[in-house]
Amino acid sequence: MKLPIIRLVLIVLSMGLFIGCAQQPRNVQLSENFWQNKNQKIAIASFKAPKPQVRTVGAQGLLDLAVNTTMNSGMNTFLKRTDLTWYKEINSSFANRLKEHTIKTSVLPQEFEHDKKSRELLLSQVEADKVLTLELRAIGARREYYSIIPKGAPEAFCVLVGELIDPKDKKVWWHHEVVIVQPVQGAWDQGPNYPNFTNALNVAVNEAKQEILDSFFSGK
Amino acid sequence: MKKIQIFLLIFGFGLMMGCGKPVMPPLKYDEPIDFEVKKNAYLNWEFGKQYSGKVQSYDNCHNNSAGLIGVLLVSAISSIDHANNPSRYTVSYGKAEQAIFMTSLRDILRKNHVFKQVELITDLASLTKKDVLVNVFFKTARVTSLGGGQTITLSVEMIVTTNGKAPFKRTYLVKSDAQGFSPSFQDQQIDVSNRLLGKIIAGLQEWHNTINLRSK
Repeated sequence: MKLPIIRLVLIVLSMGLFIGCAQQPRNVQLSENFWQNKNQKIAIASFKAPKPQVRTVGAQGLLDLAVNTTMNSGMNTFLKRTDLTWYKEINSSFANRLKEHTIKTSVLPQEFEHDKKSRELLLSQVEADKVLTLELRAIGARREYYSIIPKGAPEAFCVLVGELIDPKDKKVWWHHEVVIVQPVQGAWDQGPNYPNFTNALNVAVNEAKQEILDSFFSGK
Repeated sequence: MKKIQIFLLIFGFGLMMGCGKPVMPPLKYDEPIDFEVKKNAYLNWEFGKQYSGKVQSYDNCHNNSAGLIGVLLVSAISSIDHANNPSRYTVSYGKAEQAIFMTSLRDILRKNHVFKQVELITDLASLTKKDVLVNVFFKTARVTSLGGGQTITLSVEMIVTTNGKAPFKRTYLVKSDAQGFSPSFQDQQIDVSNRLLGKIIAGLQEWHNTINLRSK
């Protein structure tokens, strides 16, 4: 009699644990203490940009995924030509704004890989009081599917994550994730150059860039 | 006869409830505000870029179990409905919410006697040099819809000017993060507005401290 109750309790407990796992890291606001320390040195690092592509989301099997990828090949070819200069320049935007607040800043010249090992290596070798990392997690288009049926038009998509970490104790001082999903105004299927989609992608990129800067410098 | 009237009234209310989206209620601020500026203040609201989000429609919620033909049918019906009633499927933090935010800010500043007098203003020419102008510019008001839920992000620039002194400029970014099981869109609107309200009032206090330091 007791055994099923214990089993039930364990199931409920483990479900609670899994719920915790599925949650995304919350955005962490930068505290005022950060701005008061004028002697600290900040190193800005960025990670390699992902390949711009069409992300298919929704209920799809392996075969559906293969079909949808083939159907999106034209747009994927176009997305390969996406200009990512802005991502390389975002470091200097942060550096200039930090210097305006008389905080010593250096930009690390190399781009790091996305894996955990590179992240740990960066934190262990960097000679700074805090590390500001900027990571473009996704760029391109996002389209919802059910099997091989698109549920709507593709939308411009950009995910940018910023984090400020103390390399000594790994404390996260600031974390902000920007997710921009920008619908295309007018017709989207205008290959090979997709002008309306390009406009939407430009809006998504500009909004992501502005939001990440506004979040870090919020209240300044 | 009276019963029919009551029935019609209830029926009418029922019909109207489906028509409009609920409007955000006026905001409350219970924290103490302990600074005072002996000047008249004018609040000027500027409207910037607005990006709407999508509401999860019936087909998105339910057609995953409808089978291929079912999905095709529901999608076709849904796309017609989307084209005919676009406002039903979009949510935003628009002019109505921003206007409620500005009037709430005015009322809170009045209630706490922060300024001698507080008014919303549209004509800047009528201001005198002694007055305080608080310009609130909603640079971006964005609703992002992902995974069935919505997040509201507001990027707001506040500029306070008075007596020909250098303007006090601050930018605030706030994001909704309403707690609870499946918070409604209105909960998100209230949550993000309260966050912004707290920042704006803290900003005004910082401005007040700054001008006090300068004058000493």
